[in-house]
Amino acid sequence: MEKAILESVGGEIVSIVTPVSICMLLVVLLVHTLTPHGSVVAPIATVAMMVYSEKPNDSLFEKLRGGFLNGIIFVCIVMIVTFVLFGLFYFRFTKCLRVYMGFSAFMVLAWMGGTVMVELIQFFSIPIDVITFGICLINFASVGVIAVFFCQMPIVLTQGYLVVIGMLVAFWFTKLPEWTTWTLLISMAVYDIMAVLAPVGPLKMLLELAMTRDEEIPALIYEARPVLPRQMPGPPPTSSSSTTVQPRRWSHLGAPPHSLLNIAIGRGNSAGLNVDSDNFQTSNLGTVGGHELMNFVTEPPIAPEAGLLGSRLVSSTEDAGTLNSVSSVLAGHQPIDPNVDEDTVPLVNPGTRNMAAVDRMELGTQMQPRDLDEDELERNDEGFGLGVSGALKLGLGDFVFYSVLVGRAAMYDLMTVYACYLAIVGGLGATLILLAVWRRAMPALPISISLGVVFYFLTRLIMDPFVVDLATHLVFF
Amino acid sequence: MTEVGGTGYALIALGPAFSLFLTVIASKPFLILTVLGSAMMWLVSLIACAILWRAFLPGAVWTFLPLLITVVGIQEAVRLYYWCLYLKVEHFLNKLAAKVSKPQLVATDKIQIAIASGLGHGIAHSVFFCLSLLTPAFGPATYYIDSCVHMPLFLVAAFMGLGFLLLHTFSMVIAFNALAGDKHFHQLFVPVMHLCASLLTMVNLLPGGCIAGVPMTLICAVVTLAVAGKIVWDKTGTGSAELGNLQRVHSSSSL
Repeated sequence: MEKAILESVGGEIVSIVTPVSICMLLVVLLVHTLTPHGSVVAPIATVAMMVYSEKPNDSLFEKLRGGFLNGIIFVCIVMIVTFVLFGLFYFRFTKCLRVYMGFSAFMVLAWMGGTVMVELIQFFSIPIDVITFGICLINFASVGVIAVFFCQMPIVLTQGYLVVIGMLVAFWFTKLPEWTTWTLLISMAVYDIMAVLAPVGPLKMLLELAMTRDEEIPALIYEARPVLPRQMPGPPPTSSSSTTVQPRRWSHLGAPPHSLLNIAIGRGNSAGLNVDSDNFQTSNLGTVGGHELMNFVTEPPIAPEAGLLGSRLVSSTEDAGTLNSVSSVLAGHQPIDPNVDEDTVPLVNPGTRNMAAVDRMELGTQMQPRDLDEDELERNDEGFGLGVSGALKLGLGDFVFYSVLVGRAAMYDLMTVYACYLAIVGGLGATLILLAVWRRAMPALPISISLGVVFYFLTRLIMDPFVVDLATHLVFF
Repeated sequence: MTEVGGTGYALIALGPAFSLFLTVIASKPFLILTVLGSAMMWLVSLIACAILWRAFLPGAVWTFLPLLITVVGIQEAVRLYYWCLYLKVEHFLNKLAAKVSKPQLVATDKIQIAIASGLGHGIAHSVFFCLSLLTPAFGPATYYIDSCVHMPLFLVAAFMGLGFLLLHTFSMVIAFNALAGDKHFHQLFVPVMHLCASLLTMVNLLPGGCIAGVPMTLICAVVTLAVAGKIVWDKTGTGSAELGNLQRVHSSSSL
């Protein structure tokens, strides 16, 4: 019996939504356990609070103003560090970049992870001695750094470590005072739009440079389902993507007028097609350690003469990728026949973001290029490559900021958590659909964060009293 | 009443939803997305209702009557809008299926999508009305309200949540079937049953009313379940005229 369409559509979206949900759940649990209601959390001195340190007695206007200033300063710092990293990449200090990223990942896992573990030990009164704890922590952090950056490990391990890194960074951010958190989120969302869609965005330039040079950008990206084992031709591959070794990492197909960058499409060798220099490779787009925003504009490459690109997914559920499907139906032409060459859809990477101390990562998805012009059907029918893994990639910065929003919502009540969760997942879905439709790099933060913030305030101010009033009178609808 | 009690209340409210999710929905990613999408739509309708009525609450007891009527009206309108969206999605899925040489959507697929949509509504309802109240239930004490001294608030809310979850889930199945086949009786049945169940919860406002209110809600849920079951039975049973529809036949095979 043929498998129904219902069993395969939507798989990659679910494979991205699941780790995002897990990360959010972990952050909510941590926040709920470690910051009980009513306790005053001493705000930590961070770079985000250089300008204004919120005190409970300040008036609303002062808090808003101070938070706004903090947000602006933070965004400026992120932008400066992004440019610094771009400069490092430009001058080919890749080793420096990699060492820095490994170091910051280690710091996150060891120091922040250690702090969280100590708090948990205190809370649950777990009997453990310092030496054991130290050894376990060092091992945990080391394995994490190796799994994420340097070696090929079972994908679950890499994914798990990425989620843990995102969770730790998000938990650290929730310690910021309230108004600063909200203004920070909104500022980062606005900055994301500008960095991705504006012509002088640092991430755009970085990606463009990486594409023209055909090099990887080391970064932290969560990859949903890599298929093929990575081979390491030259510099060690980055993060969690597993791509095959190909002579070129990016496809250069000329400069289409509206976008400067080409999609890097990974392809697997599993289909046994000959890989020549025109074939495509997954971009191991990650974020360089540091405050950096990377956005990728992507473009559909032209097909190689061999015709069908694609890679076979390991997972058995995917025969037709969702975004492939969306694109193909919207474009009105035939998607790649999965019986011949099982393709699924990676989206092209919209944006990757990096953060020095926190190693944020961004939404990087690899897009399956779909040409929407009917005229170019023949040219492009074979051409649209897919990521090697055929899976979506999401930068870790998005994990972090989504979880920060939900963690801050958890500090009020669980109802806001549910509302914000639905808003964020809805925003993520909308972003992915826009990506499939517009086929250019899209920042992952703005829609989700704005929906999340709107839903948070609506829920807290309006819906919560309404629902609680009804529920305590036991009147339901 | 400690973690055990809290977990127990949560399972009463959400246990059937959880098992429905695991058996029907978890294996199909599209249905998971449907659950999330319809939960979000229900949330939006709830926020719209809240904006409308926020200024009037907390108010006199009689305000609940127009509130319930308008709110149920809004939710049924949202259900119709959701149906229109579903038609577009179904069209899209069929087009996609044609392109990738897969069979078109059959009756069981459509029923599954209807169950997923209804479950999204039901889970959203249970989560917002019941689960968010349960946070104190994990603590050391319990809570009774004045009009219901027989059962803790959490227990009543859990049962009502369960009733409404089943009601929402299966009324969506009935509604999809009715709107697709243009069956007027069932089309009317859904909003009427929803309104009845809501108005019956007002019995809880009377002192001691929850003794009657909870069983009545559960009876409404069971009636809805029975009607939905009969519809599905007719559609997929061995005597069904649409039996051929059930087989996923490849377009080129001769099955």
